[in-house]
Amino acid sequence: MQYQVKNRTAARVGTTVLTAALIFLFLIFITVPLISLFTRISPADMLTALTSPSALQALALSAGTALVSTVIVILFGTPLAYINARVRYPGRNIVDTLTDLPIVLPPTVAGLALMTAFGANGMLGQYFSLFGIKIAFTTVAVVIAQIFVASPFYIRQARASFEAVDAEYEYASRTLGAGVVTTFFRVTLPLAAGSLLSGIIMTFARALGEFGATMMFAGNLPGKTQTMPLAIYGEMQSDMAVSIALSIVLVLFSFAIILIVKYLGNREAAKYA
Amino acid sequence: MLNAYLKKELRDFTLDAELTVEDGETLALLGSNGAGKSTILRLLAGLMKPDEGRIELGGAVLSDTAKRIFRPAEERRVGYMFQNYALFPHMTARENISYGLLMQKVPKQEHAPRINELLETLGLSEVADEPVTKLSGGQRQRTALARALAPRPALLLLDEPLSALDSKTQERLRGTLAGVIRQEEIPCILVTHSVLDTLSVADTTAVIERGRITARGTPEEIVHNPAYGFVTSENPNMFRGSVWVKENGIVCVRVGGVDFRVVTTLSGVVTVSIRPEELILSRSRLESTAVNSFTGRIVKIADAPEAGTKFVQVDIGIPLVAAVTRQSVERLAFIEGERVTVTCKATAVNVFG
Repeated sequence: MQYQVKNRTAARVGTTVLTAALIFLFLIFITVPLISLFTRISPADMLTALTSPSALQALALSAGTALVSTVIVILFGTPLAYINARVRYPGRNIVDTLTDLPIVLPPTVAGLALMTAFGANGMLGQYFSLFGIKIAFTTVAVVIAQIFVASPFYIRQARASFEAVDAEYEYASRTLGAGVVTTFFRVTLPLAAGSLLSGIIMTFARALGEFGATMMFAGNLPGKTQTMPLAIYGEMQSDMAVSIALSIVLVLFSFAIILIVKYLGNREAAKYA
Repeated sequence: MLNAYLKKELRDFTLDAELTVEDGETLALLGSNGAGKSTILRLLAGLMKPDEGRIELGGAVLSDTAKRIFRPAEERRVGYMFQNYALFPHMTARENISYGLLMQKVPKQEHAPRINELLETLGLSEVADEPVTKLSGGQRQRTALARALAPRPALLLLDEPLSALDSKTQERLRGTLAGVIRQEEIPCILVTHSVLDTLSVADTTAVIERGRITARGTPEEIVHNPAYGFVTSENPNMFRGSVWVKENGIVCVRVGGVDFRVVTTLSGVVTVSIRPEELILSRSRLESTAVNSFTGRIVKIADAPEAGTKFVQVDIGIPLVAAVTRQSVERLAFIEGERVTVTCKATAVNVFG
């Protein structure tokens, strides 16, 4: 006797339809709010809004601070990421967890923590105050908040990039007469470069979008601490057009960033395969 | 001259080895995977620290745990050829080769002549400016060798230099490797588990088992000693010999005092190998088309790796190992010490350059 094989065509069609519907609904959910932003403003109004003094100020401040924080993150984060990728030492996991923490920490908590540390009466801030140096509610505070919140994006990616470079290349370089530092710059860095660049771009994008910690620790002072996300929030009451125009700039920028990072990732994977 | 005593606790055993290699001598470290061969190279190169030990190279102390001396890898002038070559993938062959010259601050005007000399010797001139990712396995192997040799190292370390290649390319490059190494007047250590590599490249051989050197001698002594010849999974019938042509035009390879008739276009010193399965044992001389026929005494009968098969070692002036079924050994009642005839065809004798 033969087993009866059930006709499953109906079930198969059902699965396909359901899957397609789920995917479609989710994409709609993501796209509609973004597109609706674009419907609220004409290109001409957008241009006017973007060239308004408050928008220009916010754009310039955002670009400037995000650039500075990214450079500082690279400077401090690279040695840390490299050591954690290559050296096993007691407490490495603790260090890793610590540097990852800002990713999951609510930005308001970060802002409050920075305030208690660098505020006028803060743990470190009180000593700065002695010399008349004020950190909270200045542009420096914007940069500090961005570094605090965005650094994990670089450090995580950098560590993975260094781990992906076979240590054997470094050994070869050493036996050929290059010291540890020269080896890093001549061999490790060029081989990790593409992947590091993705991390740098993500860090810059995260710094650019920083809102909560900045709001708490740096305030919302136009021209001084009012970056784009803060301006979007601030202008919502007075000039909606500026808010929408700045939002559109950030949406387009973010979309481009992620595309670039994906492209870099694919290219890197193909490069030394 | 290299003088080293090394001790290091490894996961499964303690590495404890003493090595002496003269200038111009090539020592083959023969052993199975995980015996500690590569660790020895890493310790010598300064990529790993010994728990205890002393390394002296050409009169200079590179490492001495008693005196807390440890010269880092970059100051040792050790040419290291890695098993997978570790060629810098973001550079061309030429850039790879010149890297050591650049790093060791060799005067600029000496770079080009040295690099071109190596490119030419190793037949890499045409691909010199290709990225190494575009090179074939054999070309990569030669680039790695050139890179290790370029800064004129004081010690040459080769980690399984041929193992990453297919057998055809291995055959082709074995001779090149041997030739290049013989020209260098420095100590050289070759890590391998290949008997063929050992015979064609090395001057002396050390067997390493679980971190200890258990035997040392000439390649022939080690490879054909029944105690070690059987430990490698490779063909035990490998010999160095030289090609000569009899007056009647018959081509032979003389190994020890024994002439094998062969089919080859090679000349000079060669390695011959005969698969044990190709050897026929008989009580008396066979009348057949197989032209190689020798008589000798059975030295040893042992179990072969394949079930139901026996290795019979016969001394015909050199030790030949024949693989025969257990039934045949029983049927013909072969015993150790007895005289037998060994026969094989000329085409069964493989000749390598």
